[in-house]
Amino acid sequence: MAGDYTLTGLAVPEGLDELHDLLERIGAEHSQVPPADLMLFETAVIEIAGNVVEHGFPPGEVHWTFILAVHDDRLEARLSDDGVPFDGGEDPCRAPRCRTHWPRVAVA
Amino acid sequence: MDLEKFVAGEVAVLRCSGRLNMTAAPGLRAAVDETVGGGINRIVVDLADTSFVDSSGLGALVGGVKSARLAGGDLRIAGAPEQVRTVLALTNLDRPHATPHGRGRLPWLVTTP
Repeated sequence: MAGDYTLTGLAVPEGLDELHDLLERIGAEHSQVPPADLMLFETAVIEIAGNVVEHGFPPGEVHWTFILAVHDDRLEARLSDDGVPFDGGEDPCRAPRCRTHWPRVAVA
Repeated sequence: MDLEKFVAGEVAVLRCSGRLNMTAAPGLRAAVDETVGGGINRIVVDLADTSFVDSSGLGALVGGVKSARLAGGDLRIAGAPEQVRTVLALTNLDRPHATPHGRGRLPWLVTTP
C-alpha cells in the first residue's frame, strides 16, 4: 500500500504517543478530513496498536510499521508487526500483566 | 498525562490532562486507590483537559468506580470531551447500570464541557 506517512518503531507504550502525534499532524495538514472522523479513526488505530503493545510477543521487542494514506474520501492505514505468531496453545495471553487488566474493551 | 488532586471537604477531584491511555491509566488507578485508602470515597474525575481515552483508560475509570462504590462512595466523571463521550457510548459505559454496582445509580457521566 502506498502511503503518505510511514512510522516505524518498537511496539511499546511510548510508541503510542508517536502514533497520536502523527494523527494529530494529519489533522493539521489535511483540513479536509472531518475532525470527528479523524477522532474515530484515531480511537480505532490506538486501540489496535495498544493490543500489539500489550499482547505482542516477545514483549517490548516487537517492531511495528504504520503506513497511512490520505485519500480524498477516506483514510487508509495498515499496521504491521514482526511479533511471533500465536501457535494456538493453551495460553492465549502470554503477557502476564494482561491477566490483571479489566475490562479489556475492544473498541476497534 | 498530568494528574492533579484537589480535596474539598469529603470530595476529591482528580484532574487528568492529556491522554488517558495505557501509559497513564495505572497512575489514575493508583490515585483513586490512594484516595479511597485515605478515607475519601466520593471522587470526581475531571476529564475536561483529557484529549483522548482508550480501553486502558476506561479500565482505570471503571476500576475506580468499583473501588469507590465498594468503599461506600461513588465516582463521577466530569467535563468529558467528545472523544471520551464517544468511547463511553461505544462501550455502553455511558449507562449507569453498565458500571460495577451501578443498578439504580445516577449517571456517572455528570457534565460536559
